[in-house]
Amino acid sequence: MSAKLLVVEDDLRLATLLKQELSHDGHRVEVVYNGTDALLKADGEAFDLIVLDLNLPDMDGLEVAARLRSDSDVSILMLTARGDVSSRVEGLYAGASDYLTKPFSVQELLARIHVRLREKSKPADVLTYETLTLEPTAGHCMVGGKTLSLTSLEFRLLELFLTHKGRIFSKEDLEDRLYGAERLPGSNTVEVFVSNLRRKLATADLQGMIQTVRGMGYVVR
Amino acid sequence: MTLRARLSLLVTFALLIGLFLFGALAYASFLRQQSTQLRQLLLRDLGRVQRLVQQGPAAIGAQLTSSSGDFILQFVTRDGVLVGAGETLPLAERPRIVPFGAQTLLVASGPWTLLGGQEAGTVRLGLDVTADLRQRQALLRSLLVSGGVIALAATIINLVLLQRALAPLGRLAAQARQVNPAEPSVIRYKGPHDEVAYVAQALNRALRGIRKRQQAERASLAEIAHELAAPLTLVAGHLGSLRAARPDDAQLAAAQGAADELLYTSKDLLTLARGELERSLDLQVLDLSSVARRIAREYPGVELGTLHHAEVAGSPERLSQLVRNLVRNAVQAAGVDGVSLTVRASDAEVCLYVQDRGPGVPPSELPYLFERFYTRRKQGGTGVGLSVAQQIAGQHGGYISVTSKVGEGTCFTLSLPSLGAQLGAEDVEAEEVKA
Repeated sequence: MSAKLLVVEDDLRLATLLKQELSHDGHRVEVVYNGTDALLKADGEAFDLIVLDLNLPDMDGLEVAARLRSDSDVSILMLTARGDVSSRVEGLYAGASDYLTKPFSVQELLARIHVRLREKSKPADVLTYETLTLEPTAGHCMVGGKTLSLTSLEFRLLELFLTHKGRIFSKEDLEDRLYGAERLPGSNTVEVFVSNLRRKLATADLQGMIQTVRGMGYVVR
Repeated sequence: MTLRARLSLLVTFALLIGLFLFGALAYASFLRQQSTQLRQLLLRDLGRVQRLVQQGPAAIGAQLTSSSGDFILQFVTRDGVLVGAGETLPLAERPRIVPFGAQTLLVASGPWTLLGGQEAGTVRLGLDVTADLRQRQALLRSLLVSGGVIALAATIINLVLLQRALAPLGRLAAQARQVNPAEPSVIRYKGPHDEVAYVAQALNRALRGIRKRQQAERASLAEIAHELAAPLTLVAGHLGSLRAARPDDAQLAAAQGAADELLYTSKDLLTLARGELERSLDLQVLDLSSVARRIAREYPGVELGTLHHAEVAGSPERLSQLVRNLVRNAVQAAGVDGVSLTVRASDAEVCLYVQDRGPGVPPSELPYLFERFYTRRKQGGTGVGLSVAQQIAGQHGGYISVTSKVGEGTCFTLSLPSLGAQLGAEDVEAEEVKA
């Protein structure tokens, strides 16, 4: 799988290594060393994925991510040296699709990029869970041959759960992914959406599909 | 014995001594006064009698009978014969107390001088003091009783007041006991500005100092780990790509293994430095056995025992770090051939056992194994791995325990709540949201 990638990393040596490894993997790789160049570059060309270091000499990596995402829905993989939770949450708010904390192994970075690109290039045609089938591209959700009517947010929520089976989403995590940066004050909480979705699933005999893990979040397995 | 008990004992003791001294003084002065009074009375009367006798016997009866009925007056001749009937009173140069039949008398005697100066014998005068002595006893009794009552009341009041006065000290002690040496927090003390408050202030100054120092140490630890991590990422990355090109090169394999070890250690240091702040966002439902299998592959030779399917909720990265640390520790102690991994699952919890056939750890050292930077002298290591492992286990709602026998080996047990135990009752929550 060949994709076009942009690496934004101010550490020359790491940038070189990343370029070498990613090229070796068969991707076309561009490297810039600061936020301004990254924005300019992304403005001129379309990239499949951007590897973005949070610590840049000229701009805050979060701001770069937010601006990049405001123009396109490019995947961003954030490299963060700060490990505390607030910077991670902020990173997701700003539109990062994923993050990796330094120090990381390059193999792991390659694996994550691979996963991101696969998710992006091929949104699964049909997602299934027991009797439920969900077609993201067509926007259909059927249970046992009957259509289950869902609001668009509920649909996206269900799609998120089905594309990440086994992953536990915290409420904050879901909020970031559902509303992104344009979250409206006073909009319904994630709990309400999950609760509504559960009720609809229960009418189709799928109660217990979305499980609550105490103190962590929601999961579909 | 508590400070309160000791203090109240001391105060009560001092009080009792004071009371005793007061009672004894009061009693003695009463005795002194009473006996002086009685003696003076007796001697005055004796003198009167003597003077009256000198003036002539006729005056005696009239004068004496008018004074009191409690007197016994006797005239004893020079050859010791009592004039009249009855028992003779003893001689007494100075007034003294003598028992006399059923009575107790204060007796005094003096020369019996007749008119004209001739000495006929002695005049002896006895004053009945039975009632006075009884009075003394009554006084002593009432002094003792009131002294006892006062002592009892004072002791009780003393205890209550001391309890109140020392309560702040007790509160301070309770708070001080709760201070966790690993994460010292300031003591909240409210009370009067006295010595206890000074102690609390001094303690807080020390605690703040320790905390500040700890934070600074953590910050610099994180700084150092970061500094190490950047070049290590490069080294490990380059080695990795070299290795991919020459998979059979043993030297490269060894170098990559060492670089990976360093990478893990710097990750441990970062985890430690970030402390409780660190909370993973990549939570997943995962099988602890598959984690164990994966880590075992990193250490070829490690034996795999029973591996139940054991679902837990957690961060794959963190749990891998945890299991790797336990396995690394065991491999350091016993070599890859001496380590085995077992996973067992029950309804409530899942357990991973890392058993090694190493030299074992003496019981005296067991409690310190999970302490930061604690290393066993013979084994080396950074003293970080187990501490980090315990920290990660705690973040996942679990814990690590250890048993060991010197000469046989050591077994670390990781216990985590099973996924089943962590699943919430969705319907209840849904109802709550609706409400």
